[in-house]
Amino acid sequence: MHNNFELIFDKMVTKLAGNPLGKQVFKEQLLGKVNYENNFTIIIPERIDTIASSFIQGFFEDIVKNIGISGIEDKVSIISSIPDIKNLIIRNLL
Amino acid sequence: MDMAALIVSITAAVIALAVAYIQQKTDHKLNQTNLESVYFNEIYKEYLIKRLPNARKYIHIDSNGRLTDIDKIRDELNSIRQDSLYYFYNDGNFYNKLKLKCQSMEDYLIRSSINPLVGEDQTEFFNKLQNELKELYRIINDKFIGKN
Repeated sequence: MHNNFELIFDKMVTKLAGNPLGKQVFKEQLLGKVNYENNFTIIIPERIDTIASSFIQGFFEDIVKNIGISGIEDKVSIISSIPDIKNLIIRNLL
Repeated sequence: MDMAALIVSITAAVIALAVAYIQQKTDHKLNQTNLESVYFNEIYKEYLIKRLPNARKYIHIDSNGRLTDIDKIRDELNSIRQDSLYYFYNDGNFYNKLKLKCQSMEDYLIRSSINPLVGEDQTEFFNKLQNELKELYRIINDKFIGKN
């Protein structure tokens, strides 16, 4: 099981908002494919310049259930053009 | 006569005990309300009086119709939500209302910044933003005055 996940969005999409969208993206692109035993990387396309807290909570809901917030801190790398993306995500998980 | 005096004494004692009990309950509730009020002011005063109005000032629509400078108010909405976590444990109903409002406002701001806003869209945007802020203030103020 590879553990790098480059998220795919429509080419016109530059902003992510909405809890249901976050859940949908996770369900379609990560559910059943991610190995929580190992470290993994989520790659957010460079053109995405804004991510709402609602999207973050929807997308990471399952990941938090499985490995917790400290698991995300330890095991998950996030690549994005948004500065300090990992801290942004951790802060907005609650 | 002695019997009557005895009955009056007992009745007076029972009433005194009841009054003392009610007083104790009232004092306890008052202390709790005062403490809640301290926490409430600590959490929300700065946001309502300074931080949200200041962040709101930055929002504007540029000459191309693009909604810009929404990051400050987004940060404040997320911050107010995170600082409200005390109520996640203390009053889940209030916390959920507040969280929903903050996040729906954030989503609205982000979605409004995707495409240019032209003509009436701009008026509609600012009207809706005003109403959303009013609603957020109402949710918080209602909690403070005990309506929530």
